[in-house]
Amino acid sequence: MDRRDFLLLFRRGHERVLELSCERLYMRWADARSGAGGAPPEPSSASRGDTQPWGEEPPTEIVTMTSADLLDELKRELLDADVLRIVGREWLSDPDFRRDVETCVEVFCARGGRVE
Amino acid sequence: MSPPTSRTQQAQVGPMDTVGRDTRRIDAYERVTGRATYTRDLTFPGMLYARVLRSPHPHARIRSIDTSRAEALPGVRAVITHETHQVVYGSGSIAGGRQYSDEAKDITVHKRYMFDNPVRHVGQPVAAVAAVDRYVAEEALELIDIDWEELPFVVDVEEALEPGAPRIWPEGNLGLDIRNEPLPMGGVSGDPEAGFRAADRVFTDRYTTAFVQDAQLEPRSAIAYWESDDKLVLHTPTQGISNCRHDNAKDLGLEDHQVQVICKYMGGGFGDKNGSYYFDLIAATLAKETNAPVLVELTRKDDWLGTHGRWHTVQDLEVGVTNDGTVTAIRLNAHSGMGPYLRRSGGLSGIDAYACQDVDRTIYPVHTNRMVSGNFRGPSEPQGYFPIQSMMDGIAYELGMDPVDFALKNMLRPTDDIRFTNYMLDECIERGRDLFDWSSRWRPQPGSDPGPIKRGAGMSFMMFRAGVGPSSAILRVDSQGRYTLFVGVTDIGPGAKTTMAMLAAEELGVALERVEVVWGDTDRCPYSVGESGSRTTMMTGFAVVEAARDLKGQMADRGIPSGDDVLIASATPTPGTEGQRRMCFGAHFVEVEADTQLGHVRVTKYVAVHESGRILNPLPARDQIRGAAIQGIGQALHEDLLYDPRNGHPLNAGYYGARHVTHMDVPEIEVTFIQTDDGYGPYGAKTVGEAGIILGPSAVANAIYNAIGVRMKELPITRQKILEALA
Repeated sequence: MDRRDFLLLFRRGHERVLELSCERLYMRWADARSGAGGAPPEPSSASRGDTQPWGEEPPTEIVTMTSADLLDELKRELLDADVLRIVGREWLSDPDFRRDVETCVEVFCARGGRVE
Repeated sequence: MSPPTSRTQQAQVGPMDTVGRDTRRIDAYERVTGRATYTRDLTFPGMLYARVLRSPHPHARIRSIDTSRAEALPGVRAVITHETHQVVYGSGSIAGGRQYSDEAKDITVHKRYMFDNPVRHVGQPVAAVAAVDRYVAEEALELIDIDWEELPFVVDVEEALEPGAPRIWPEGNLGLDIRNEPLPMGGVSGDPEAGFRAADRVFTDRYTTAFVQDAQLEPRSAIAYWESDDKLVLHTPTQGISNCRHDNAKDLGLEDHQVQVICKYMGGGFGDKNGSYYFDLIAATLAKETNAPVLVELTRKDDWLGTHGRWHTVQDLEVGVTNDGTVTAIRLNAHSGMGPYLRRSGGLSGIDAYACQDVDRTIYPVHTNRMVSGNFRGPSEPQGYFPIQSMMDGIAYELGMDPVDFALKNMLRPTDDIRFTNYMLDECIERGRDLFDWSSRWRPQPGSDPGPIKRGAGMSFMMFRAGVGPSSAILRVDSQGRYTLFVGVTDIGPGAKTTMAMLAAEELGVALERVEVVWGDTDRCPYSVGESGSRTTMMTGFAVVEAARDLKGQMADRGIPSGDDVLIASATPTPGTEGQRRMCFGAHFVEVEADTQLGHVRVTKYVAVHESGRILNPLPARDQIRGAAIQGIGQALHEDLLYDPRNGHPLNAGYYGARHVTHMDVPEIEVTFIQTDDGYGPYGAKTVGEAGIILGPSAVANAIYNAIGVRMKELPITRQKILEALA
């Protein structure tokens, strides 16, 4: 069994089944789409100590992949599967999210994959 | 991005439908009935128990380590040491106070490992054992044979910088900056020399502050298991699941999405948990080695010596002042004791609350063989405010001025160059002076009460950052009108889940009970800045309001969803303050009673006045200030982790030894909020959590001076010190 944060891969007979959690994918998709801060500051350009914007606390920047990278990752994961089981479909109510997921699913179906 | 409320600069605000009303925590039932599951409450099939072996020496090299007897003990599943696992913990000393940085990790010559050799303080991890139960694990620790080469050590911050002092690092004992250069922090603003020349009088003095442990109730623990070769699940009491995930992923060579961090409940934060900790890495490593879930537990003593606390300091101050009471120049020369690793910077705040702009600050972050220093609620504030506000209090007496008048004359105010979103420090001080009845409690002649029992009054004031910044929230509604809010917060004590739900309910115009909150799980929540810097309400709360606005718009356009459909709104706002400083403000007034024969000091009255914008939930907000003030009193009078200079060993680790103040030791902390809405943050909310701890040490110390007529310059102000000062 393999497991990513939004994908669960298991075998059913000869079939490789991927279970896609729309809820978990949505969380990463929302972070990726928002940028969630983008690139961290350059160490050499940051000052030390009490002159930092947040004093002693970690700043708000954090690196996340872009939404395009995330969808590419999903497409790559789907290459290993014969069947895609989509759970938490209600999360597809977000039209932008639905469009991005459907794009990946269309690629999956076009190469012979089946959606449950 | 427009702020969620109209600009009502300095306007007084009152309760809204939900926001601003005393509200019980939405998980109060779970908490008081024991249904809330903390990390240590979790068990998993086949879970192993791990214990950590720690250094008994302040500075020593491991010549050899033999784990064969421990490994042979029935029930032991894995033993790991610095020889088996070279994992760099964190991105290096020079990244203190910074987001994890690969570049910093590569650059730093002061790498900190999960297990280090040499060890540099008593309590540093040297090995860990996973076994079928904790007793076997503990027995196995005793079977690990280590050949130690003890090295010279130093525990005093000034001695550590003297020529010939034992070297903790080859480069010396002064902390390195981002370029690996041993330079102090600080710098010069304005023209201090001209400021001192303009002064009629110049005052100099030395103050010291003590190392204080964060001392949260829950001893740290972590449970790790691997769901696959590249998917780690980590339950750990962190203040920031997003940063914790990121840090652990980096240290373990994984991508963020390959680590799931879960923290549903934790027994107190108090700082420096917005990220990873080495025991997370130990749990993950042992789980990998054993292919089983592994629980790492720290005992209370492990927790005390193996984590961090507030950096202790020695501070030399020089203040120039004119005869009319105007401060013209300030010079600070300080040493901050950081332990052997620079987990944070060692910076000091407090001077920046004064209007004087001719300032020269030099702060040396110094390595010693004490335990590691790190963030503790208001990381650089209480130990920074105590010296400068004691100094200014004393100058006021020297000039024949009332300390309150001296404060009002010299505190930082808005200027053309220094703009604030709003400014409420005058109101805090004046309201506090009235509520406290300063004129009747303050003695114009310090120590003038007749007899051995003397009373006196002191005050202190502060401003603390309340900036805004990015965070995320996701909100959805189903066909039953149930709202689910997804936020990446944990709940370290202030009731963040409840606050987030209140904000959603307010903006949506629905009852609080209709909002369910999903939190504390990186796989089920969006990014959050983490609960440090008192930022959750301002940042994630702002995102909640934005998401609720979006959802309201969707419902207006599309109606309530039907069947299995839902409507979803997500928001990651990146608000700013247009170059203005956004600060919260406060003033504390304290009366003490001092027994000059026994040296005993008792706080008899404590008035805390704060402006923290709009108070979203007054019930826990008041308790935040109360709890913080109690911690401040403890730092003023009791707490200090003492080290024996002869052997480098800590002497009083643990609650009993530290003599923490409890509710039984203090009077009612009278909390007053001056509520405003400056148009930023969620409905104008500002910082609360850390603001309350900043002023306790200085206000108590100033009250003691007023009572006994002798200035106490070393924290904690113990009975012995008072008796010595009065002798």
